[in-house]
Amino acid sequence: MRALLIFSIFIFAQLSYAQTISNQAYLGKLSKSLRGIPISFQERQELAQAEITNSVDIYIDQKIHEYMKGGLFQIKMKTLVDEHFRLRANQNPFNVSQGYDNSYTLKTAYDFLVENIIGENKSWDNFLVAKKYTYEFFKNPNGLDGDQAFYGTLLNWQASYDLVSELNGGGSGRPISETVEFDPQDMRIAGVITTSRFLDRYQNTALNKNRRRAAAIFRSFLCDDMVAAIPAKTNDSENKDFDTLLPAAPNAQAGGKSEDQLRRELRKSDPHGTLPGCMACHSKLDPMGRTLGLSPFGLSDQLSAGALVYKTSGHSVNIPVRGVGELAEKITQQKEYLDCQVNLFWKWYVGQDVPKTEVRHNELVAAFEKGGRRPWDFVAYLVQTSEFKKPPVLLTESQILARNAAKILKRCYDCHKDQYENLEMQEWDLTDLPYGTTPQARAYAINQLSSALDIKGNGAKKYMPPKDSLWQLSTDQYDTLKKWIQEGAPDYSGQRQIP
Amino acid sequence: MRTLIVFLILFQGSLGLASFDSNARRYMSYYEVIASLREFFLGSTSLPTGVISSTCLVVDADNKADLGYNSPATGEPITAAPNSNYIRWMSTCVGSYMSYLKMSSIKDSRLLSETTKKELFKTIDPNALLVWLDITEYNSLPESVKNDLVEFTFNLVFGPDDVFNQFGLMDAKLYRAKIRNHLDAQKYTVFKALSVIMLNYLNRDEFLSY
Repeated sequence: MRALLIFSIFIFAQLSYAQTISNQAYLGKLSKSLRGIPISFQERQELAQAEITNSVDIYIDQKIHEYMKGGLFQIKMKTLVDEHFRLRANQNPFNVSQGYDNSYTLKTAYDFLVENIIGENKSWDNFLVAKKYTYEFFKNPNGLDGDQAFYGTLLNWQASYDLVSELNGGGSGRPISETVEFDPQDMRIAGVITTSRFLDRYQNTALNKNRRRAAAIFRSFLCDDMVAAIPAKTNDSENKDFDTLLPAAPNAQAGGKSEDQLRRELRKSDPHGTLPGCMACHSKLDPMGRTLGLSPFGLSDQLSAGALVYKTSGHSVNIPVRGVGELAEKITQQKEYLDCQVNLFWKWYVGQDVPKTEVRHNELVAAFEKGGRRPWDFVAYLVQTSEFKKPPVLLTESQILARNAAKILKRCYDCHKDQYENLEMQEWDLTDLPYGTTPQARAYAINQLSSALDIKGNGAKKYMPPKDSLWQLSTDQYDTLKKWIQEGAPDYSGQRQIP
Repeated sequence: MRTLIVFLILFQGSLGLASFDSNARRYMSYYEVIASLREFFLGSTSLPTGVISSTCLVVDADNKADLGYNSPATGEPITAAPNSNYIRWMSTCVGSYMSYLKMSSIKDSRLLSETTKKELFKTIDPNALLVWLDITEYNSLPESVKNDLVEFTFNLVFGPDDVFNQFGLMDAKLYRAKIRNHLDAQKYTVFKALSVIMLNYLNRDEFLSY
């Protein structure tokens, strides 16, 4: 009887543990989530006092707003954004002088834009649709410098250029900052996309045709992660002369190849982008890449038409656009964009391991919209949800193994989901565990997977991914999948799929 | 009965792993842990130049892989979770900050409670506290002061016991008892004991993750 009583108390404690965290723990989590540091001893005492006077909700609300207005919140969010765009995040976020290095790093249009959106709580859409840039540069008697040179070709087009202000600066060793604002209808400008930092990060060549940039846009704004794969049938695709990769001059008379010549040659010798297997990604990348077609290295003052093309459940999206500015605008109108950005905030502030139903997801999207798509409003909403206040789920080894396996298999699915042939593979979401509804169906699916990747043989006899694909599984990834299968291919709840 | 005991032990729950990547339980990122240490030891006082090791203030080639810096190439942290190099880095930084506290006025030290200070100042000149902490054996302290050193710093770092316990990794009282047992078994000076306490606390998942 005593044992039963102890057991009951124990069960009750475990269940209570799973419900919600204490006020002290909640404030501590808020502080680390929003500004990246623990709460102070003084704040603990203030909260304890608020508990006595029954004013905890008011105190917590006040703290949320105080944290978000602070510099640490903005530093943290900027770093998260930099990491999301896969740019090098600031390695000295608190500007600590290191004594030996007094060089100044110029802030670019990208840096100011991100800080402005976060610092002034502007709509998140501004990452795509902003038309106003501030940047720093050093006065250069020989010509334009830094971002001033980057926007230089557009600055001469008086019809859409308005120098808003030229701020003080320029003293010895000090940079000048300048702000330019383009017409809201200017289709050549698109938020972070048309910044030097973004275009430099995703370098382009004539062979690449802005596909790398298009892939970055798909990944960052539509959460469509595509993997580069070049399953060339011959070795010719590797033999590209320097002139093809980096054309010297835009016209034949100057001795270099013209754009038309390049396109004809590339279509003849380069199967990349035309084979059915490649079309899964290229049908999306190429039309988007064309919007930056005239801006291979710097920003062109000419519009370049293209399209936003992708598949979504049940139908295809194909929206012709006049330029990258219109492309960006159309992206903000897509459901997939909203879903993606909401999931991003969820990952940052609540945790991607925390499950949510479709109904719950739709509630979050509605909240994001209601807050005008502004970051502070949505973050304040998220950190007051019941999911945020729950203690973190302690995952078992099997559950972690399932997640690691799914991470690898997602690379496969990202390619297969848009393919034009083999519809069975197209419909099979490899990250949707468990597979099938019966043990036999699951065993069959695991067997197919195992054989396609040749997991047991570390890929020696595999046929997926294709041998010429740029993405191949590493030894570690094979080990993870082997272990996953040996443990019965557990699903996200840790249950074995195969006995 | 034995089955029930085994069942109760198994029902303790398993150790859940955190990572640097954004998920339900994550480790503080490189800039968060740098800011947290600075905030914890210095509070709002300005950073003294050249006193704290620069590896504790900025990310550089030596520490970035171990502190969970995101690789721009993959978009993921270079290492999934803290490793032995992380512990070594933390040791360097805790040592650096503790040395700074030793140089500054220890009587204003954030690591000693008012109760402890009041107790110590009964017999020690506050201006001589610095030297006293460095030469006095921890084991010569009264039990109440020894308890206070461990508990006060625990409260500073983690907060109340329920905050520590909600991670489900170890019971707070049990943990403090283990720390006390270790300190009692060594021949540490008071200052060394404080350093050992801080190093232990600041390497716990309950501090580093959320």
